Amino acid sequence: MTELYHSQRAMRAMRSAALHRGVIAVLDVGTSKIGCLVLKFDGTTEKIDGDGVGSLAGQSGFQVIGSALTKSRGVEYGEIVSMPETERAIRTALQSAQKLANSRVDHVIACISGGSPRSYGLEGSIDIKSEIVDDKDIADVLGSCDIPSFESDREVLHAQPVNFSLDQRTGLSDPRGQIGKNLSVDMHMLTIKEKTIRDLAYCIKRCDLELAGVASSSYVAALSSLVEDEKELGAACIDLGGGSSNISIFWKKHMIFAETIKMGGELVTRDISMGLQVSLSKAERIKTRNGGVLATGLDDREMIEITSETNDWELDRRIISRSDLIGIMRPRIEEILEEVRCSLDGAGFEDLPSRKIVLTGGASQIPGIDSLASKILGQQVRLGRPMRIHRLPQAYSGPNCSGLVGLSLFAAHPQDEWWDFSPRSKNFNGQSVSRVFRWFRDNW
Amino acid sequence: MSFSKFRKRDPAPSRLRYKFSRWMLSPVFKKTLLYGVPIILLTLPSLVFFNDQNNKEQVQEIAFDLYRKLIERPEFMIDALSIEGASDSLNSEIREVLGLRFPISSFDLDLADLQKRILSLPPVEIAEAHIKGGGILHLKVGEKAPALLLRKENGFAVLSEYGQYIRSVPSREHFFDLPVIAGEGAESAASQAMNIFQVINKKFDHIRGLVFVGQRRWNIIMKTGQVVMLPENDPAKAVQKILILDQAEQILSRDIAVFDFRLSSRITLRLPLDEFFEIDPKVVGVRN
Ligand SMILES: Nc1ncnc2c1ncn2[C@@H]1O[C@H](COP(=O)(O)OP(=O)(O)O)[C@@H](O)[C@H]1O
Ligand SMILES: [Mg+2]
Repeated sequence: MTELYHSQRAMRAMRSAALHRGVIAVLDVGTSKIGCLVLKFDGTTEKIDGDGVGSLAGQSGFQVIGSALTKSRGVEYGEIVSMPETERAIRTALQSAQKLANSRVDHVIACISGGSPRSYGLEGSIDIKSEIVDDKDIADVLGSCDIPSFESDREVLHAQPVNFSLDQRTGLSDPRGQIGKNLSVDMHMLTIKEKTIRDLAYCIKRCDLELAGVASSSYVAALSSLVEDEKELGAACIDLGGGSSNISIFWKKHMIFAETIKMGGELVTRDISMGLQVSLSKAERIKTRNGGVLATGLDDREMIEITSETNDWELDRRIISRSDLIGIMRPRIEEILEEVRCSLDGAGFEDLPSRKIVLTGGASQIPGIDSLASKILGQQVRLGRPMRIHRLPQAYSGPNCSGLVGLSLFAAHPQDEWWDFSPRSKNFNGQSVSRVFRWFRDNW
Repeated sequence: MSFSKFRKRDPAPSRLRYKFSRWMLSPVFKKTLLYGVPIILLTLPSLVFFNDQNNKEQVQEIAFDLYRKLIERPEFMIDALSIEGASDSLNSEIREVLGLRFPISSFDLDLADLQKRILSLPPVEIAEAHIKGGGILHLKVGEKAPALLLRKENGFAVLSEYGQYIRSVPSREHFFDLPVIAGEGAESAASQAMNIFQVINKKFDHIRGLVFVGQRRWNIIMKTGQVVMLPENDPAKAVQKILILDQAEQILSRDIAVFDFRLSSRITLRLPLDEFFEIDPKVVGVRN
């Protein structure tokens, strides 16, 4: 645990160095595309050494000075399967982004959806010695959390304090300065396979860049597509990507759950390719041009011409109706959404006071997917797009870039994590009995 | 259909290209490339060119020509010398010493050097040189005032009141009113002599001059051939005393050869001797 503490601290230090220099890149390694933004920070560089909870650490203004989107290579279902290929794709993205920015970048913050993220709810509590809660008490209570046992091939990606309770009062976001006797904390911890991070770090290292932070795709997609109220009252963000669908649940402005389902838009494309016997690229084009999930009478009459180059007259010249296409796509999308629902149920999503669901990611652009989702997931479904950030090109404002934009926000205003607080003592074995968050019960 | 259409190019830049592009984007490298390479490209041919001695000389010649052409423009030329505060003889002397041939460019004139050269002339006390508009070199000279004549074997030397040598003259012709001194090393005690003359102040007009004896002290020589020996220190005071004595007793007008005032407490008088080195009885008679 201490090792992780130090490696995460090192990454934080790197990040602050990058912010000090003013230029940092964010890199979203997705299954279907790799996106890169070069951010330039101006003016107030924030202080990170001071311990803080919430977004108290200060804010910094930034703007996008370079951007690039390229087709992803060597990534399947959110995992890097071919490192040289992925390295090349990252290089492509970075080179064009740097060229646009006309500035060299040395630090990069990356996110990846693979590595089967797993959420844990942690609880810790301590007795406060000096009536008033201070930074050290917070560090202590975070240190007192009983770390659940997880496989040795996993790494902690996020460990964020979600909620503090002081004696009987709960729901405190920052108890410092308050008076009480017993301080307890609920913490959300996310682990992913160590290999995934290591592969990503290696690819980035091969591009002569320093990794200044990693984030989960589920988390950053939600950061950019949920609005403040949704984060506060409870909402799930579902990032429907190419190879994976990333789910995250927010409550009280903090992520309390994240998961990845290894199904995404590419499965739909594959279905179309098999069902219509066309190449994958053709299937992708048909999907994005004519795809849909809700058939109406009109769709029976809307004909789609399918051309291919097999030199077989019968195969090369076919006409299908849009209803046929929808008939191919819908079952797969329903399956994905069912899977999402299953995951949400497992996380206890229905216990949240507000159960807003936001669909984002490239595959959320399929027409009618919101109505289909509201049938499966619940009434309050909306399509989410990333929020605007300064000087973001228009091409990056679509839902498929919500991860990228969220990563920029993450770079600018990072959530305080467990390792941001210096522990009073080196040993973290607290005495408190670890009690499970109610909505995490089924999960571990 | 060309064959290359089948081979899809890898859109990714090679590692080397990627690295190079990053170098290009790093500010230091960009600057060196932007300024360094053109500078090298510009200087290299000229370095090669100047490596050849012939070329070097040629270019130097051209440069020198250009320089001459520039400094010899009429705006920079000086064609007259005006000297202020010098007597005619000094004027011509200065002109001779400077040896300037007009017209001359002001760039070729070293005013400080001119000044030094003029100051090296004995009669000149102060000198100032500056260039006046209209191409005139203006010299302001202050001459030393002649105060003493030093008798030499053949002629006289004119000295300032501090004993500085001004010029030599064959006779007293132009300097009748200057007091005369003589003796080896007299010029070094010139100011003492001046003092003595000041005290005498033409009180007795039949003085011939002062003689410096033994590089130590002064003798006053009268026109009558009488000698007044003065002490080594404070001769002016001794003269004052003599003057008082003379006023009271007219000792100087007596027929005495040598008045020895070297010891003020013991004044000695020596009688004149005749051709047989005998004391003139007339004088002795007077005494009696
Ligand atoms: N206009 C569209 N209509 C339907 N599907 C789309 C559209 N645009 C993109 N997609 C699908 O979205 C997926 C890519 O989403 P994206 O969020 O970019 O994936 P990732 O984050 O994994 O790289 C692809 O499967 C693609 O087919
Ligand atoms: Mg994505």
